[in-house]
Amino acid sequence: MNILIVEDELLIAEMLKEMLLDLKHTILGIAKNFDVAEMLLENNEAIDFCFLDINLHSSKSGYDVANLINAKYKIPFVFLTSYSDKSTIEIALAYKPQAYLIKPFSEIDLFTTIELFKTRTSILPQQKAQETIVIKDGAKTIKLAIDEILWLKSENIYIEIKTTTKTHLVRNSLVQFLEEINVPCFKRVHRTFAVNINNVNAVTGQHLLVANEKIPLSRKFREQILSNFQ
Amino acid sequence: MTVSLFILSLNKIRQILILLAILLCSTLQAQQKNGTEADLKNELQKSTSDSAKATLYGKLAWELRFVKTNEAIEYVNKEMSYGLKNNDFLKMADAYRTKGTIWVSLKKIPEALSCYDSCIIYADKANDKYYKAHAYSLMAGMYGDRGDFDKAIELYTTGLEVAKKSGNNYIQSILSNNLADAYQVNKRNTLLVQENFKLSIQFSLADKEEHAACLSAGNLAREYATNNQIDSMNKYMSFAAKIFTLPDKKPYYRASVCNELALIYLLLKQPAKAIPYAVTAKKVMDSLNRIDNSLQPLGLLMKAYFDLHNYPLAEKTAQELLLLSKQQGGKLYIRDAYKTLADLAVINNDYKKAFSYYQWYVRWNDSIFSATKEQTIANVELKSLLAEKEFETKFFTAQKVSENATLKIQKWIAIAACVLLLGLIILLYHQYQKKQEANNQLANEKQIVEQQANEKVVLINEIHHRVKNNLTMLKSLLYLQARASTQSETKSILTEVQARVQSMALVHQNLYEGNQTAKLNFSSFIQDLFAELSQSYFDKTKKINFEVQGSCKELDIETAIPLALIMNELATNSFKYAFANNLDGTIKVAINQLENNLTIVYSDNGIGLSKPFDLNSGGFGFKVLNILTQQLNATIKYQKTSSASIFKMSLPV
Repeated sequence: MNILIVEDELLIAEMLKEMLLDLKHTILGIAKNFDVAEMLLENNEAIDFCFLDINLHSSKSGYDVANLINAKYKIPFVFLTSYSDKSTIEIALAYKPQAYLIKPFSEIDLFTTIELFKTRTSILPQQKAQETIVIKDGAKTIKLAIDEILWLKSENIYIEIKTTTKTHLVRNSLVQFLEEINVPCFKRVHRTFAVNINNVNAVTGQHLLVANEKIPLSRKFREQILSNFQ
Repeated sequence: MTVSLFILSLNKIRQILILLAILLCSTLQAQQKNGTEADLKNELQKSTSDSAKATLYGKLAWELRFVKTNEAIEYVNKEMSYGLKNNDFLKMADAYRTKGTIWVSLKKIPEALSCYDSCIIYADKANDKYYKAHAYSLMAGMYGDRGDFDKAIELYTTGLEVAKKSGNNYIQSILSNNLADAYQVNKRNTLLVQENFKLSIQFSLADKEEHAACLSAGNLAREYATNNQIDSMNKYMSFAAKIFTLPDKKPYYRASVCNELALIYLLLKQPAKAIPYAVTAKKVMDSLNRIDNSLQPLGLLMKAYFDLHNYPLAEKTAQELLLLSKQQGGKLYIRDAYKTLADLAVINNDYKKAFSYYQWYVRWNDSIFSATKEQTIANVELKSLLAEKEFETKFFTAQKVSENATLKIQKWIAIAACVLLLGLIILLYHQYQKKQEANNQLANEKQIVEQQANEKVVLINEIHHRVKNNLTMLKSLLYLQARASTQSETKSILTEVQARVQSMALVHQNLYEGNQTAKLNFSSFIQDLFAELSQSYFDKTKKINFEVQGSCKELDIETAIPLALIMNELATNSFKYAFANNLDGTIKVAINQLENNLTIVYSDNGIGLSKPFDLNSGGFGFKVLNILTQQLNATIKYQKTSSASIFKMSLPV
């Protein structure tokens, strides 16, 4: 991918750049502030992904760059910041980033974030075809919008389906259920968890952040991601 | 007890001394007026002239202003009506000053301030500098008590200028002493503190008030002691000590000088010398039956015993201080007593007790923090209340003017009256709008105060953010340099350092996410740490399994950072050496907490150490391990079995 980095700490930008170069991406520029970012976006039609630091220590922040991108360029981007409190994350998510990368990040956090984005893009066509699934919660048959499903958790002989508003119980095993419904955006990330990757907000250490909850990431899953890159 | 804590309690001591000065000043006043309530009433019956009666009313009101407020108000009103009738401005000034102090004792702050204002106006009319200066001093004292030192200093300075013009030594000594006090409490320019105390000494001596001069000298000596100016300090200490050769008429002064001397010796780290002074001060204060004044010498005594390592007496004193300060609601002293008790329990190895005392200490410390906040809130509220009062006065004046006008114009033409009425309506509407504005302003100010309360939380977040950002920069540097270096040893050293930085950052990450309590859940943290470490620098073809068992109470950052680094070193050691040959390694961590003792057993199934375990020899990793275990007062033991090598660590938490 052709990537633009917006980060006012140039040392951090340089580390990010080298990590991305290792992943065979091209860095089209590093912008220290809003004005440089605007100039680079205007003059590089080839940019197809951005990393945005939120606090740029000037009057305009990463949020302003995000606004500009959303309004004019429609390029996917990831926020990069050391704020990890819930309120900041909630504010940041309103700008519809692909994800939220928390400093200090490791190479694998970066790999996982990019992989997440790629998977999302690749399943986009299939996703449009199917927008709901039908489940049996006890005796009732319920239709759920896929968009609203956050994660699935295996609990004994049941699966908990967590949506943005409710939790449903389905009697099934996780493996079998995932096979049956065959929705590409549900990815198994742990022995007991599958997440809707479209609702993943951030990758931190060994967790995925989904709607402010930490979902554990198994080593197996991480290694799978690593192997994709090596 | 830390020095900073001690210096904090100095502020409280200063406040008590200000109160003391006001109290002393009132005693002196009473002495000048020569008489008790009964005498004055007697005299009142005998006197015939209105002027003499008015003077006596004034004296009576002043005498009764704290004890019988209702009666005092009655007398002061009589004095005032005489003053008004006869245009006796001096009596008016006197009456308003008394009334102001009565309002203060009834906690009606805006009323008191406006009385002092009137006192100043009438003192000006009477061309009397004494009352004017005194009113400034009383007003300044009120602002000082509320923590608004800027305003207090401003008023004291104005008051002192007025006092200087009066040529009255007594009022000059009071104002310069109070001004110096205000500077000292607020830790402002030390030269101004010194200059004003010196002035005060000079005026007191001129006024033949040697006791007061000695007290100012004591204050001054302490100022020199805090600045480490030993020669000047000695000079004024011996000056202050002269009080012991003076006739024992003024026990308050004597006890306060004792307090100062005890304080100075504590600052000089000579607790043995502080004790006799603190004991004397305590005895005198006790004999005066003012328990709130006994708290200060008791606190000094506790600190002195503690510094002398006389722990049994320190504990006894601390318990007494705790009891008394709880009775008196002396927050700072309660806090200090708990802190000392906690320290003593630590010395006695009673960690359970220490923990509970420490919790109490933190609670009181927090409540003092919020009290300071409340003071700020009270200040803002006072300011808006005053603004509202001012507005009301203007409103009534405006109304009176227009009423008069209406009466006159009624004699003339009715239409004009209508026009005026219309004008009045417009005026009222205008005033109503003004009032709305005032209300809005009040709401705004309230919002500002609430914002300030949130500041603490925001600041904590901001600090964590900055720490993490800086650690990320450090990590970037190490990452970039590792890549730029060609030698494999350099590379691996830099990678190891990177891992240490990452471990520290991870502690901050976990503290930050876990609410606002700044505590770390160790067992969940350790899982994150190993996951982070395993990918940061070891051979990815190897499979290392982690198992974490057990849990402990949440840790604070002082324990968490060293512990994280220790775990980092142990894991690094396992990755680098233990699993050199086998491909499937397992690292186990068992956490167990028994009361205040935390045990962590770290084991791996690798080849074990090649040499006998000795923290003092071996590589850099072991050196770090050694330093950090010492930092935590921990013990670490190594054991090798056929299937595992085990590090067993035990530490107090």
